[in-house]
Amino acid sequence: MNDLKISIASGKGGTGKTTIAASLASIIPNSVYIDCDVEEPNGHLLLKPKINTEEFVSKLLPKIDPFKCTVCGNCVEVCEFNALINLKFEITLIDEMCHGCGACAYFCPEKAITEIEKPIGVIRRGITEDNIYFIDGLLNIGEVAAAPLIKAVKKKIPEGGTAPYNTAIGKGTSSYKKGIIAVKNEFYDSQIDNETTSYKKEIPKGRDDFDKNDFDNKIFSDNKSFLDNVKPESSSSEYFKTYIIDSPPGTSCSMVEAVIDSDYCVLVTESTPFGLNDLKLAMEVLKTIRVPFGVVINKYDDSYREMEKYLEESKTDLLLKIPFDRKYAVSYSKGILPLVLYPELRTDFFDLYETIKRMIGLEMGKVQSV
Amino acid sequence: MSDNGYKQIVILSGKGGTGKTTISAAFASFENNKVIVDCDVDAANMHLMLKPKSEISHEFSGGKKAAINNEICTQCGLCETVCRFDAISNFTVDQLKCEGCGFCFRVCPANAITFSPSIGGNYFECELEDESKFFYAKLFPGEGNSGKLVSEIKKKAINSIKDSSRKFVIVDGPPGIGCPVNASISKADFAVLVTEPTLSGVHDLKRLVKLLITFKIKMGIIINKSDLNEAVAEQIKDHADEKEIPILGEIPFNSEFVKALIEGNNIVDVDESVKKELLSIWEKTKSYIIN
Repeated sequence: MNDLKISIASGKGGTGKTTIAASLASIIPNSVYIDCDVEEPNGHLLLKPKINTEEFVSKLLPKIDPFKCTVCGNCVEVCEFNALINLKFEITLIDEMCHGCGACAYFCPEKAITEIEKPIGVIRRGITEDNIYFIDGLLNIGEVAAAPLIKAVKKKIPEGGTAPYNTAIGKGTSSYKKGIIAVKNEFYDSQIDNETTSYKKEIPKGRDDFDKNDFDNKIFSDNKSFLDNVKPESSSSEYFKTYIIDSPPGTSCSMVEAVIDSDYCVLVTESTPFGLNDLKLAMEVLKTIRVPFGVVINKYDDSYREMEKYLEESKTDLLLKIPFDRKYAVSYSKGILPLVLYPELRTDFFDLYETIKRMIGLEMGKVQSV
Repeated sequence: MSDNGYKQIVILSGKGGTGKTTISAAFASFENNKVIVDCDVDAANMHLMLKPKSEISHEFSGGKKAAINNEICTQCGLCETVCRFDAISNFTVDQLKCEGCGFCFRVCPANAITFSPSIGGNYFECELEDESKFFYAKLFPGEGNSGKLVSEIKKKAINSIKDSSRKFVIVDGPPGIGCPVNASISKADFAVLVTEPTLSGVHDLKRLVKLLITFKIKMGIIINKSDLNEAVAEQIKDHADEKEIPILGEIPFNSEFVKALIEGNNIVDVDESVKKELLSIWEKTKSYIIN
């Protein structure tokens, strides 16, 4: 069986994307959880990974050499985003407007423009106690470019069947070196410190502290955690990876960046007119980019009939209904996945995963034997 | 302070689903002199609650997109080399990936690339039962430029208030802290942050607070679903104390919120106690703006 990429999206915010994504990741053997909600990532609060690497992601910004610049205005003319302003005696840049296309540097007749890197966020990677691989992106505050960071996060998803950490931190690869070792940096201190204090202590200080074999052992050996009791027995043929991609809310470019190229998308909605309205919008996006999808109704309330009526009429697959229950909300509020406390939900998520696999099999034109 | 004597209040949350729209609609019902703007342009909901009596639709020009004319194209591949957004392959432009920078158009030696404006969505200028103005938008599926659309409808809303006696612009903001949020807080007089006592709620609130401090925007916090987790609610209050942000009010978890949504009602019309609390929050909010 091949690797699977399952994205979780919603349109409306706060419907339960992250809870569903993290729950799925927790019951699937060899799963990788990828949080693409880089503006407000929350997956780490529920999965509590040990972060092993942090890599900065930058965008390119033009830097104008005032000694070479003749203020001819060519760069201003080619900039479609109005990021460069001609002040007559010099050209000035508004960082936030720049999309980093590089046209200004290319068209500068004086070769006065070079491009410099500006950090836009950080990619964190790690593993949870229950052997779920974890990747997320955290956008710098004040930065607007969420989609490029999401793109960078998704580049960490290896194509093909290799375990991500084998390729990422193997001997001599640069991505590990670029990681957490580079923390002595004003940017790190100001932005990341607060965010990661809860598990910062566990970050290895250097390459020597980090045992790659330990990682491999963790993947393939038996572990004694609670999920052992609920995860199905893995047979050797099941060493494929399942990537669970947690999308940002909405239906704009950042949502597309997150869900594009997934094998299947789970749309999470809630039993309200707002939920239905935004579900329809999200469905339109998925149809446009041709990603097959099904729907989970979270906080299900049977007094709202329109949702199921619409799904039936539009012949949309209803994958799962999770009833509203205050105790689930309370569990979530403490950062505990409801399925950890309430075993009845585990069966639901196993079923959901099986249904998704069946759907993907159908999409591929054949029912896969699992 | 805004120029023409009106005040702009933006309702934000960081995390989605905390109750921004419900609370914005409640605030709107307390004022006659107002313009309302739904800035969640890629998943707009407020029109479902406000049910405008009339609306005029306008097109939103999202930006330009490139396209290659294959009859002229010499397949030199320069466009693909210069494109940083992976939008060009096999001498065609992927319209969803095209960022609209025009680099390929300018660089093409055969002039085989056209670069023309595209429609990125629609926005709607509406009138409500009480004759206030309301603006919302629908970005086309998967479009970029959501920040630009937010700026555009805010501009329209403010223009409509300039030649009237209206006093308040109530802005229902999008979730997150990125591009459309930055656009929706520009020139705001006050931000009302709607949060919930969950670890995610606090995490997202803190990031949003940092953003607003950067922009020097005054703010206050509403703790919605406040009794869900008292310990986390305390964390919110501690953080507010530390940053000297007033707590405008607390609203306990109440199933009437969802019920009102389902039935398409404004929460203030169905629950007296919530109405009272929200009214006091609104009065407090106003007192912070005027001072």
